[in-house]
Amino acid sequence: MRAVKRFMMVVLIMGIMLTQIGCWDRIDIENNAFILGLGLDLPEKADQNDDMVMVTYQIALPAAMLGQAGQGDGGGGGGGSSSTLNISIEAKNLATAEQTLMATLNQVPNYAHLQLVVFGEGLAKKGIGKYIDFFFRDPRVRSRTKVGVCQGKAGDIFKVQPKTVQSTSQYISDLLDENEKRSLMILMPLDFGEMQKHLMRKLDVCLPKLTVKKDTLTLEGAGVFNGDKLTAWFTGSEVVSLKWLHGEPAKGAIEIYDEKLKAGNIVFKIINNSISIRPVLKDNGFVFKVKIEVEGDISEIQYEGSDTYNAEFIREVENHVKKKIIQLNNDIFNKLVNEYETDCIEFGRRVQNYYPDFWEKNKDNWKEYFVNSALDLDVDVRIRRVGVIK
Amino acid sequence: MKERTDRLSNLQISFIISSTVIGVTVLVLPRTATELAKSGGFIATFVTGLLMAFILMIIALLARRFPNSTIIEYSREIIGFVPAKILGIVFFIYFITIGSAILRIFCDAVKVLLLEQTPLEILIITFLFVVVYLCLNGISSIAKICELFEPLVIGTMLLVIILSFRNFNSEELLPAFKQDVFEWISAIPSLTISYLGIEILLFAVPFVQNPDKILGYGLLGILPSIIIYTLLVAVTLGSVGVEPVVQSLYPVIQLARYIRFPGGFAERFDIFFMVFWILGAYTTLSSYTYMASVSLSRILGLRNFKPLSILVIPFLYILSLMPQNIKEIGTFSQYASYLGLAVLAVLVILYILAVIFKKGEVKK
Repeated sequence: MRAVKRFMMVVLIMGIMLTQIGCWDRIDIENNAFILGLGLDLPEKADQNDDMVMVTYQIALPAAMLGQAGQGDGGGGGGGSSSTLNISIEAKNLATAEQTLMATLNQVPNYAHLQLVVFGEGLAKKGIGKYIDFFFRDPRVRSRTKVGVCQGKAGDIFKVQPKTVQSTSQYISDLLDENEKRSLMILMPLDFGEMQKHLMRKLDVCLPKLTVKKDTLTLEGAGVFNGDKLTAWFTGSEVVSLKWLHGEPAKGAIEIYDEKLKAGNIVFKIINNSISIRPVLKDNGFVFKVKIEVEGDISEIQYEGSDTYNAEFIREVENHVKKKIIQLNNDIFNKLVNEYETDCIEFGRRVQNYYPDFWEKNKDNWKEYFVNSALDLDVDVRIRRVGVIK
Repeated sequence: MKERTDRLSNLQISFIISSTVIGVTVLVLPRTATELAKSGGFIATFVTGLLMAFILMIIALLARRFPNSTIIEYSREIIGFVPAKILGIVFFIYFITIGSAILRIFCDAVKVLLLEQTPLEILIITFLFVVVYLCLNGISSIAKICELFEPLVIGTMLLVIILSFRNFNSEELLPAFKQDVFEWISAIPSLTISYLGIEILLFAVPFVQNPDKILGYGLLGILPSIIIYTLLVAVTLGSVGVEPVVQSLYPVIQLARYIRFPGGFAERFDIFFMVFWILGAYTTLSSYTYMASVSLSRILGLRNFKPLSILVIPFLYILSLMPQNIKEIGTFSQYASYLGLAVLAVLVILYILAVIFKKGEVKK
C-alpha cells in the first residue's frame, strides 16, 4: 500500500514537472524580430486597388545596434551599417501582412517594443479606421504605442537614419515623450489607449505631424481628422491652441510684437500652465468656458534699450501675451468649428461627461451642436521673472 | 468532527475570506460593472459590496449558531433530512459551477495574454493539480497559503490603482452622479460573482479557534475586496473610459498596460500584475475545491474529504471545458453569478428559519 502510494506520488510529481515547465510558448530571444515601428501607406501603384495597404515594418537588429554602440558614435554611418531593417509589404490587412512578413523573415514578429505607428498622408485621407482594429484587438500590441501621421509616405520616415539613437521609431518616441513638454510646436502624443477611446466614441482625433526633408525628421504641427479621415494640416504655431483647447497644459515660448512697447520681438516662455474647460448648455448650443492660467518668464528681447525691471512694462507684456493667447485660441476654434467641422479637441467627451442625458439623446448628431458652439476664454497671464538681466 | 488539531486564528479567517473573494474575476470586473451601470459602475460595485457584507454578516451569525459543524450537517436540523440533502447537492453543484467558471476564465485569460501556444487543457489540468495538492492538506494549509499570498495580491492591485492615478480623469466619473438608482441595482446580479467566496466562512467555522469573534473578522475579510473593487472600477473608468471598458475583454489588463512606471524601467506592468493575479486565482480556486469536496463528503456522510477532492477534479475539468467560445464563457459565468446570488438568498432564508425555530446555540 505504501509503495503504491509512493509510486503514485512520483507519477504525480513527474506529471506536474513535465507539464509545468510550459515550453510551448518558448521563443529564444534571438529568434524574435522586435518590431519598433509600423508605417501604413497606400500601395505604390494606387490603381483602384481599394483595400490594399502597404505596411512598412521597422525591425530592430540588436547585433548591429550593439556594434554601433561599441564603435562609438560618429563614424560608421555608411550604407550597410544600419541598425534597423525595413520591410515593406503590400497586403489587404495587417494580419495578412504579418503572414507575408513571416514568410520573408527568419524570425518571429514581436510587438512588445512597438514604439510608433505612422499613417501616410494618402491612407490617412482615405480613412484609417479600417486598419486600426488590429492594434486594439491583438493582445501583443501595447496601448502606449504612439500614433502619428506623416506628410508624404510613411515608409520614408523609417528610411531616415537618426544620428542620436539607433532607430527612427525610438527617435520619434523620445521626442514626443520629452520635448513635447518643452515645445509648443509639438502636439501631445496620442497613443492607442487614447485613440481607442476617441474612435469608440466616434470623436475626431488629431495626430502629431511628421515631415521628412532630405534626411531630417521634423515633428511639428498636427494632422486633424474628421472621423477617420485626414482633413487638414495645422502648422507648428497653431498646435499650441489645439493643446489648450484639448485641456492639455502646454509649455514653451510665445512670441509677441508691438510697436508701442519699443522692445522689438519679445519671447515669453511659459513655465507653469493650468487649464480647465467646462461646457455650459445654452438654448441651442454649448458655450465652452475655458480658463487658462499661464505663468512664465521673458526669455528673449530683440531690442537693446529696453528695461524689463519695470512693473508697468511687465504688465504691458502680460496684456499682450493674454491678447495673443485669446487670438490664437479663437482662430483655431473658429477654424475647427466653421471650416473643418471636426471635434478633435474632445469637446464631445466633455459634453458627455457633464451632460450625460443630453449626450445620450444627441450623440449621433453631435456635430450639429458642435458647429453652433462658442468659446468663452478667460486667460490669466503672470510674468514672474525676466531672466538674470534687467 | 475535528480533523486537525491546529486551528485557525481569527486573522486567518479574514485572510481566507478576502483571498477567496479576490481572485480571477478582478480581471473582468470593470466590464461587468460598466456594462449595465455605465459610469456608475463603481457605485454599483460599492453597493454590491455592502450587500455582500450584509449577507456575510448573516452567514457569520448562522455559522455562530452551529460552531461545530458545516452547513451541510446543520441544515438538517433546520429544514429536515430530505430538504437538507437536496440543499447539500445544490451547494455542491454551486461550488463546482463557480469553480469551473473561474477556472475557465482564468485559463482563457492566461492563454490569450501569456501562453498563446499552450493547449487550454494542459493549462486547466496543471492548475487543477496544484490546487488539489493544496486542498489535500486541509483548511489550515489553505489558510496559511492565503495568509502568505493575500498581502502580495492586495498590494499589487493597490499598486496598479495608485500608479494609474496619473492617467486618471475624474471627469469621466461625473455622469455617475446623475444616474438612476435602478441602473446601479440592475448591475448587482452580474457583479455578485466577484464577491462570491464569502461562503467559505460556513466551512471554516468548525476549525476556528474563537467562533465568537468571526463576525468582526469576517467583515474585516470582505473589507479589502470592497475597497479594491470600488477603486479599481473607478480608476479603470477614469483612465480607460466607459465605452472602451465595455468593449474590452480584460479591462484591468488594459489599465495595467497603460501604466507608465516612474523611470520607465518596467515597460510591461501588466505582466507583473498577472503574476500576482495568478496567486489570487490559485487561492480562490483552492477554496472552492475544498468547499466542493467537503460538501460532497458531508452529503455522503463521510468523514474524510481528501479522496473526494481528487474526485472533484474531473467535474471541474469537464464543466470548465463546456463553454466553446469567449461569449459562452461570459454567459456561463453570468449564470454562475445568478446561481451564487440564489444560494446566498437561501442562506439568508436558512438563518431566518433558524432564528424562528430557535435552532442552534444562541450566544449572549
